[in-house]
Amino acid sequence: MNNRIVIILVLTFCCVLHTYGQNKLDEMVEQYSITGPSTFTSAVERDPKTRKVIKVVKKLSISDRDIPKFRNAFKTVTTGNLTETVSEDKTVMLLTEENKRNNRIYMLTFRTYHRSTFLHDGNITVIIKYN
Amino acid sequence: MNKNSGYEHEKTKELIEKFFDGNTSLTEERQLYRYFNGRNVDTGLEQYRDIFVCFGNMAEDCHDTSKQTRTTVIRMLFRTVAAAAAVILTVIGIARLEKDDGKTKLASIYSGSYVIKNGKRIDNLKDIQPIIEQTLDDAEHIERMAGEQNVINTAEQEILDNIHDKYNRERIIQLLNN
Repeated sequence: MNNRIVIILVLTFCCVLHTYGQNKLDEMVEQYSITGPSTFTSAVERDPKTRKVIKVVKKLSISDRDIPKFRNAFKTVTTGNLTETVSEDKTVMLLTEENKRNNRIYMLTFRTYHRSTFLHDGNITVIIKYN
Repeated sequence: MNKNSGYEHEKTKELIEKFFDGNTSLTEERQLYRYFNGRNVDTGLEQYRDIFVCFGNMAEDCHDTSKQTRTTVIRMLFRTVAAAAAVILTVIGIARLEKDDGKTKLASIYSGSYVIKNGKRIDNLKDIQPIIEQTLDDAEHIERMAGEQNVINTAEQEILDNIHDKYNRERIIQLLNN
């Protein structure tokens, strides 16, 4: 009986953890769109015949000082595939996740000055494609 | 014959002469028509009865015709104005339908989209249509990029899975990450 409870708790924790990273990013984007000094676009693409949502794309510009916060949020996501491409003056972090209901892509881009710690021109794009 | 009828007879004779000279007024002519349409036509003037009865009838027709013409003109004018109003309303209606149709089309594809700029939310799809379309175009580009990246990741993983030697694996990982 005790074993069963432990298993259930562990499974529940794993489920919560599974969605934690993804939900955290989504929450951060939503929150920032309302409070931050930013431009936020939420574009919904529908099938014109059925009006069913095919894709939702959210685009958010973020201030320089908030880039590290989002960068850390990307790195703490435990599910999906994360790739980070660093070039001379630009970094692109790409996180992809697939599940039965939808496929998600999160992209964070920002500029660096000659690979310095000064980060600017941050943008986040979230793409949710429904199956 | 009494004095009055004698006076009337003389007066009528004068009017008849005036009539044939073309000098009678409309009122005088009407007097003649009334006289000859009545029963008490002097026998000496009986010869003129048919003429003035006929003239009297013609005058009535003309009066009626002009009345009719005026009525017809008014009716035609009314019909023309009504037709013009109908055309204008139809054009306005079609223009509005097309505008609504455009709105409906936009809503059927992009309904639910919005932009928040400096804390201000904009929901008007027509206003933000260019931004929505640009965002969706950018998203397609990102999707392609993500797709390619997935292919790259999968290929790299396959390579690494086939290298069992620890030293070589680390070397390959270093090469792939440079």
